[in-house]
Amino acid sequence: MPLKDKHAFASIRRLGRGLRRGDYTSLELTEFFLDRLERLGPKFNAVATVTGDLARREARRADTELAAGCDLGPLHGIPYGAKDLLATRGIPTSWGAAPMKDRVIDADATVIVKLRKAGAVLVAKLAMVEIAGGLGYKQSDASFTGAGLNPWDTGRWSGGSSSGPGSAVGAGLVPFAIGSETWGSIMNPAGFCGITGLRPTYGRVSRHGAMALSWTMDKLGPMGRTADDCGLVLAAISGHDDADATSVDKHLEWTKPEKPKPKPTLAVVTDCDKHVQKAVRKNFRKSLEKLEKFCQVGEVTLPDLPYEDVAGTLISCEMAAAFEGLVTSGDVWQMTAPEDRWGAHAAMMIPARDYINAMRIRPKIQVALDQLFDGVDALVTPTLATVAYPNDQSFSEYRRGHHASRIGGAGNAAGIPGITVPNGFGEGKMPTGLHLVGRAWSETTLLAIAAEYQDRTDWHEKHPDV
Amino acid sequence: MTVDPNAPYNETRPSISLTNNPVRLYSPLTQPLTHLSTHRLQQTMTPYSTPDPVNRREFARTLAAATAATAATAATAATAVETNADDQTPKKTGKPDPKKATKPDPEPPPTAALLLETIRQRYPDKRLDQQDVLQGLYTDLRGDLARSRRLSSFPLENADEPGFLFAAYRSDP
Repeated sequence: MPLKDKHAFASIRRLGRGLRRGDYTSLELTEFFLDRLERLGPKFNAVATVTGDLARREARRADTELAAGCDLGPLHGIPYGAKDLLATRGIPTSWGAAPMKDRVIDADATVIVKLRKAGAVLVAKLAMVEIAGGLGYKQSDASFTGAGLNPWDTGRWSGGSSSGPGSAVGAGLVPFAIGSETWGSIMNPAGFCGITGLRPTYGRVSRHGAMALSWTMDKLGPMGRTADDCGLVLAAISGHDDADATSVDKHLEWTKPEKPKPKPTLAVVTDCDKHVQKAVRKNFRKSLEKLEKFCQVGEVTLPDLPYEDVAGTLISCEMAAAFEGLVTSGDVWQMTAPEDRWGAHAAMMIPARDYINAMRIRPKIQVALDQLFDGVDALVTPTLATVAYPNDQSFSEYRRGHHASRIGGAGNAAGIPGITVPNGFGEGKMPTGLHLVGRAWSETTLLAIAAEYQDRTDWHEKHPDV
Repeated sequence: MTVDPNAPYNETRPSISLTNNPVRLYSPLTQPLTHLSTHRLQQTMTPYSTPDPVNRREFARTLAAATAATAATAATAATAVETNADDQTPKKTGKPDPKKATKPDPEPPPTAALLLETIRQRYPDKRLDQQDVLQGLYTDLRGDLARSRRLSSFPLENADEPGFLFAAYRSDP
């Protein structure tokens, strides 16, 4: 069966069924996505490296194994892309930064190894904002691969810092991708590109082999077409890893689309849609109507704590320690975004007292948020205040007067999970998103609610005409 | 090593009153922690937002003032050194110079300007001296200082430990 556009936007389970039915082989599926990556990747600046040789080897092996009756599970033979901050043996790992664009790290990140063991096929290292945005970029052109361009409108940004995973999944260049989030880097591109993105609980997924921006804030997570896809991928990559002391022995099970418990309780964060674009608010309220069909929906007010100051201080200080060498070597002056060339300098001056105070306030944030989940299965807000920003404006210029709920900073400071699913279209026919946040280790609940929402809507089936 | 983020932080670590448990203090406090402001904290609503950027004129004025003040301070210090050196030899006494007596001490430069100068010394690079880079850096530094003040104003008890866990390491079981 010839592979068509519809396969580019198919879910993992659907692709897997076709593979096992013999409609196509993993190699054919891989060639199909390699062709799209080569042909369409440059249109969106989505790709750092196409890993053709490796992909063909892995696909042939998957075909051999499947033909021999050795089925490694739902990801077996399915192509995917990885944000270019994950180390891959023999393939450049650039971290999105010009001074490192040809650098090869002679090791595979744990996530890459786990996906290989699950039979998945790595077809591309995907573009990203330089140093995962840690240098303070203020506009979209902040990577040696160029500005991440949105598959719904290339005049707009794909989001960041997982810009490539966002646009590559959104444009049907890969069925799923691995992104990373320190503060917003999965939720933002997933929301802007109209895909599903999951930020796991801190410690759920090993970061071994991933670029460290902030040791106490970094998380790796799946970006895909559906909540079910994200569940399948998270199940493959979660669990303890001796090489990452922060990874926890909590493996997530996700073998079939889970049904949420009867009438889960959701709480809308007070005023979360007050300062968002009109269409974002309208779509959010329509989403609440859908959710009310199978959930109890209440309202909750976030405690007034300095979430953003804590998260910002932790990231700035850890980034300063991790990347001082970039400053002292002078390599930082090769960064693409002018503001990224000097963005690290100020962080070098933050006193240890501020870092420690942020760390002292952090447990209070964790406890306060955990108490908020007493009797509540998930908090719900719009994912972002606006649709994707136009590339010819600075971020602050376009979003002036708009801001989303503080749950983004709060959730990342606390290390709790979140998921975004597409929920409609706003200004310029650009996607908008619905954001669910749960208590630590509640990914199964979040995925189940999101999957049920997607069962009742078709926003996740919409895709751009690329 | 695994870290269990579900572990409660405060249930087993009750807050300790500073006045009743002075032994827990590593250094004496000069004032009780109640002096800490509990006013509503100023929040930034967007990640990595910086305070209002300084306009070019304001920035140029600040830097000029800071440079002048730094120079004046340095000159004063240098004079003091010279004076001290001179003190070793007998000097004529006379009436104090009225001009010197009425000259006010120079205002100390803004902290952000001092930090900017520290950056220029620690990470010397002529590209740092471009006007737009200096201005951006100065804005960032002011933002960091404002954030620092907000963090310091958060009411913390002495018993509020940092949220990082550390354990002794040995490689064998």
